[in-house]
This record gives sequence, C-alpha cells and structure tokens, in this order.
Amino acid sequence: MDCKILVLGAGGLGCEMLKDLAMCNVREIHVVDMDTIELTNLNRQFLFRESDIGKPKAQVAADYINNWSKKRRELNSGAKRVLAVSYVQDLTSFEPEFFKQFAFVISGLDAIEPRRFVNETLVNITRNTGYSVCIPFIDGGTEGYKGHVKTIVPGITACWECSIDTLPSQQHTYPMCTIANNPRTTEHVIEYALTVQFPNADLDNPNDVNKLLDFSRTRAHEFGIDQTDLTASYLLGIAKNIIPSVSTTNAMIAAACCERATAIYYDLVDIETMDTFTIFNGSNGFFSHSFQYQRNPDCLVCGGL
Amino acid sequence: MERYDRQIRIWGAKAQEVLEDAKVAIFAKNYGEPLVQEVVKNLGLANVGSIILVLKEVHDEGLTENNGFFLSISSMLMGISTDVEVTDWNTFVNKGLPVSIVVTLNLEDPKDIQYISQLRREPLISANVKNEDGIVQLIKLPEPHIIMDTHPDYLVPYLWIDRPWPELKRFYESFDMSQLAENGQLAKVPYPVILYHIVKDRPDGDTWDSNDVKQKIDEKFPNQRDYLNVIEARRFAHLALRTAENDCRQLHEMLDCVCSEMVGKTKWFDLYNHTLAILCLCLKQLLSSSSFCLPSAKDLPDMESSTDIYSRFRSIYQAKEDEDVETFSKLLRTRPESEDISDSTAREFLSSLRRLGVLSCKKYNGEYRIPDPKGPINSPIVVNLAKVSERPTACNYFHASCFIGGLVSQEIIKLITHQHVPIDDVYTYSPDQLR
Repeated sequence: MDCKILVLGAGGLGCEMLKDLAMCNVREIHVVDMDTIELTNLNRQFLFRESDIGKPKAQVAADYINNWSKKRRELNSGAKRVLAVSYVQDLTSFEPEFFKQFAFVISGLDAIEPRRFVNETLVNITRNTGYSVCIPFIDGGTEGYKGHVKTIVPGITACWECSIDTLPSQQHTYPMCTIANNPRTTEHVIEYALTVQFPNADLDNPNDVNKLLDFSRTRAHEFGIDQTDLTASYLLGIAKNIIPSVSTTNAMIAAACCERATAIYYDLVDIETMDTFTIFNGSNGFFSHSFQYQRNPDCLVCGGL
Repeated sequence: MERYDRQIRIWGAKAQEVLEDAKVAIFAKNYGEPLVQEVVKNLGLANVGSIILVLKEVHDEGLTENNGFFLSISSMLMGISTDVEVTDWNTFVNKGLPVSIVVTLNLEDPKDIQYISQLRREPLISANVKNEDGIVQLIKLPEPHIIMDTHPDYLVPYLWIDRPWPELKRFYESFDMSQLAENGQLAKVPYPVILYHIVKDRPDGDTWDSNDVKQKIDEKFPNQRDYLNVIEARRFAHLALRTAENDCRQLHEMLDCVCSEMVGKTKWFDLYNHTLAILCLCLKQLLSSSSFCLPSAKDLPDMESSTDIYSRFRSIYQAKEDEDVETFSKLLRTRPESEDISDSTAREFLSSLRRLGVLSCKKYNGEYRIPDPKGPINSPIVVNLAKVSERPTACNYFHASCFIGGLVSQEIIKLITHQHVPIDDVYTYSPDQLR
C-alpha cells in the first residue's frame, strides 16, 4: 500500500497492527506511544524482549520493523521497503497539521480520552477542508476474549462520539456510605484504602502497595469480610483498573482493523453502506456481529457536517 | 508468573499451570506459511509447554518461499520459552508420544485429515485460510470435554427461598419485618430476606409472577420504597420465584451427558479431563440424595445491607459450603481413582458448579470444510477493479491468517485449560460478506 498510516499505541494491538501493516507493504508506518515496556507486556507484545524493559515502546517497535524490513530486502531484493517512524510523546500534543499527512489512522489504545481527541481532530480536518481531506479512523479495542472494531469515515459514517453512549461505565463506583460505613466485600475495603486511608499511594511502588494491602486486610478483618481473594495482584487489578489481555484476541482485532484499512484503500467497500461497527466475543464459542452504526444528528463532534 | 499476569486474569493461575504442561502437535506443510507462524507465535507467547511442528517439508534455516512475517524459525521463536521441536509426518504419526491436542493448519486434502484422525487419539482441530476467507473446525473429540468454568458474563443467583436449609431458614425467620419497618431498621436487611417474607405466606396453589411479588413489596412497605434494599428487592423480584429445579436443571443435564459418555471408558489421555470426570461422577452420586444442596458463597452477590447482617448471611453460606465440601470429599475418597485429586481441586470444582459445562464426544464424520472464496473480483460491490488487480494478493490477505491464527490458538488454549467454552463445530471468517 503506497501510503502513510498512523498507528496509535504500540501495545498489544499496536504490535500486531505494525506487523500486519508491514506485511501489507505500507510505505510508511508512524507509531505513537508514550509508555515504556514492562514485564507484564511480554505475554502479547511480541516485538519486545526482556532486555527492552524500561525502553519506550514506540521506539523499540519501530526499530524492530525497520530491522525486519532491512533483513527482508537482504533475503529478497525485490521486497518493498517499509519505513517505521516512532513518536514517544503524548498523542494529544499533536497539531491537526500532523494528522493530515496520513491516509489512515488506526488505533490500538486502551483509554477513552485520546480516542475522543483523535476523532474530534479528524472530524474537524474533514470539516475545515470541505471534505478534501477525509482520513478514515479505525479503532480497535480488546478486553479478555472480547473486542471491537469501529470504522469512522469522518462526515460520512458515525463518528466515535456518536456511539459514546454504548460504552460501559468506566469503573465500578460504590456509594461512599457503603465504603465508609457498611463495607461488605474486598472491593469495598480496597476502595476505602485507596480513597480515604492512602489516597496518594504510588501504585508502582511495592512498599505503597503493601501498605494499601495492610490497610485493606486490617479493615476486612475489622468488618468480618472474607480475605481469601485479597492479594496484591487482586488489589492492583482494582486500583489500576487492569484490563485482562491475551495475544490471541489482539491478533484477531488487529487483523480485523487492517482488513478494514485494506478494504477501504482498495475500494472494496462502499463506505456509505458498509458495516462500521463489529463486536467479537470468544468467551462462549466464538461470536461476531457487524452492523452499521447510525450517525447521531445531534452529535457534539460531527453534527452538522 | 508476573509475565503472564494479564492472561491469568482471563483464565486463572491453575489454568496457566495446565497450559505450561501441555504439548501441542501442529500438522502443516511448512513453517513459511503465515498461519503456521501466527499459531506458533500466539501459543508461544501464552507459554504453552511445548509444540511439535509436524511438517510435510522439513527445512533448516531459510525457506525458498516464506510468506510469513518471521524470516526464519529462530526469529519466530525469539523471546518465547516454549520448547519447539520440528519433525516429519510419518515419524510423528506412527511413533510420536501422546500430546494434549493435535492441530492441522492449511491442509486442504480431506484424506490427510482422515489419516491423522485415524492414527491419533487426541482431540483434533483444524484451521484453513484461502485468500481472505478462513475456517476453524473442531474435527474430533474422543472424550467428553468438561469445562471447569464457562465464565458466563452474568450468573442468575439462586437464593434458596423455596428450599432453605435449616440454618438459612432460621436466619430468614429471625427478622420481624413489620417491626423493622416500624422502627426504621428495615434498611439494614439484605433483599433476599425481604423476598423470603413476601413469598412465604403465599397461599398454596397461588401462582405468582414477578409483578405479583413487586406489588406485594409495594403493599407491605409503602413508606420504604426509596430504601436501596427495597429497590433491589423490586429489581430482583423474579429471584423470589426461582426454584431449586430451575437452578439445577443445566447442571443435571451436564452431569447426565458426562456420565453417559463415560460408560466403559477406562483410558483417558487428558488427565485434567479425567479428574473433572471423576468429580462429576461423584457429584451425580451426591445429588441423588435429596437432602443435599450445594450453595456457593462465591455466587452470593453483594447487596445493600449492614455489614454485620451481610456477614452473617454470607457465613451461613460459607458454613454450608464447607460442610458440603467435607461430605463430597469423603464420598470422593471412597473411589480408588481419586488418589491424585487434591482437596483444593474438589473445593474449586464445587464452588464453580453453576459455571460447569461440557462438549459431547465428537467423531470425525468425513465432513471437512475448507474455504471456498469467491474473491473480490466477483464481488458485486467492487468499485475500482483496476486497483484490485494491482493488489499483491499474498501480502494483502495476510490479515486473514492473523485472524484465523488468533482464533484457532484461542480454541486450543480453551481446550487445554478447560476454561471458557470452545467452538463445538465450525466458524467461518469471510470479510467479503461483510461488505
């Protein structure tokens, strides 16, 4: 594919997307990620090794692809060159002008806000250029054995913001009176430790985590709450809102995102009638469903476009 | 284990151990195929114990035709600790030791599948990709596949309102609802207590639905409608009418299926499956005595209540569960084959009763599906044929191998770990149809 594609995130989905796009011979793949590599990434982020822990994800991933491209050309001189460019910075620090160079933006992010930022930026580019620049935004997401792919062609299909009501609430919230006066579960005592007893805890510092665990255990004991599940790993799952993740789902969702990009690039779809929203669930057998998400005429981002 | 933390959160630490002891045999043509590389990569990342690559064409480093991402076997295996052995078909089919599961990748000839299924006893799953289309098919299951935890998104709780055991009945009866309503203490009571008192005086022969229950709640507590526990009682009114039969139906069906398929089976090659089968037999024996009921404290949801009343409620569940585990363990120990089953496995099994599942045995019936893509050229909605013809096919169809590679790896993991429900037949992937 003779174009430039921007990949958002060099995590589980990002690594898979870089591989898939490199195999599609995309001329330039740019990747943005401000995170560094951790040990818990290595069960799925296959472009990284243990020796890369602590290094910036975007840079290590781009280096991998560039080395790969070089080796491939050594083995086969006819192979196309693929160039990967990395940005170790906050995605929201980019100006709209930066995005205009890309034919597609594909995201493998794990947070809502950067997706909303990119969506709004791309919709505004379409609006401000009178549709002469219209960059499709393909968004992948996973959680455990579940995933989704949303395809947004700004001003033509529903934008990311149009479907914002379909998101589940971001975290469990408990009434303060329950946490303070009537705790019944381990979640309640952990929440109290996090919000009242030790609100400034650094969750990456093992001493702080142990302190939080002590607070939680003492309180669980005080209120006669079963502590069997109350481990550091469980506490961190709640405190950091850790999303379970495995290579298999990431491989599938990244592949589905790249399929969307190639289908649009090669004009295999009619973008006005194509399905724009696909959900996948592999928890019970395997299930996928695609449909066209309708534009919201009152959307605060793409309304009126 | 920290490296695998994110996936252990999907299937649990025990399943990860099972995975790390497992052996997967992959039948394929050569390792240069994208699908083969994807499956090895995914299983390696998950840390499957060992993989035997059974290839028609065995090569050393360097392939004449490599359409995959990894340019050599060594780059494919870099960073993963799974033990990978490469061998040829005849050696493995005839002399290979038993493995956990056999997989065939991109074998188009049904005779190959017939040959492998006849000579190997293991569960057999196949995956094929052609152009953009792919198929994953469960070909053979020589023994019933028992699922320790199906991980449903939501489990309908059963509150034992129709058939409380004596301690639970005493707990429910210890509340004087009218008095609690009068002295403002009703808010402290968990909603199952409210539901119990609403339905206990129902005249014999009256059939109620959940709306009747809601109406009775409104009549009995007209001034407490905004209490959070009364709101919960209305919301979960249907649980007041759930019976032990409703609760157990699926479990009984599952046990019947396992036990009938176990008749005459003496040799099991999947040890974990064998363990689960013995536990199922023992459970069926136990459930045949009518006095036995099996609540699980883990299944009791959180609910509005004062801490001490909720703790009492939960401890009654816990005490009953402990008693049941003891009874169950005693019965289990009367079976000679139970020697290797630990008490903790028995306890885990009992606490996931409502999440057990089974796939029946499956014989290879000769129906082998391979993709039959029409291709984008024939698609009625192609807009720009010129662009399609310039499309370098092998590269741009790569995503199909990644998708199917991800899916078949996931199914292999489900079959090995006995967590989540595997595909029991065929899944077809055809992105062209989406267009």
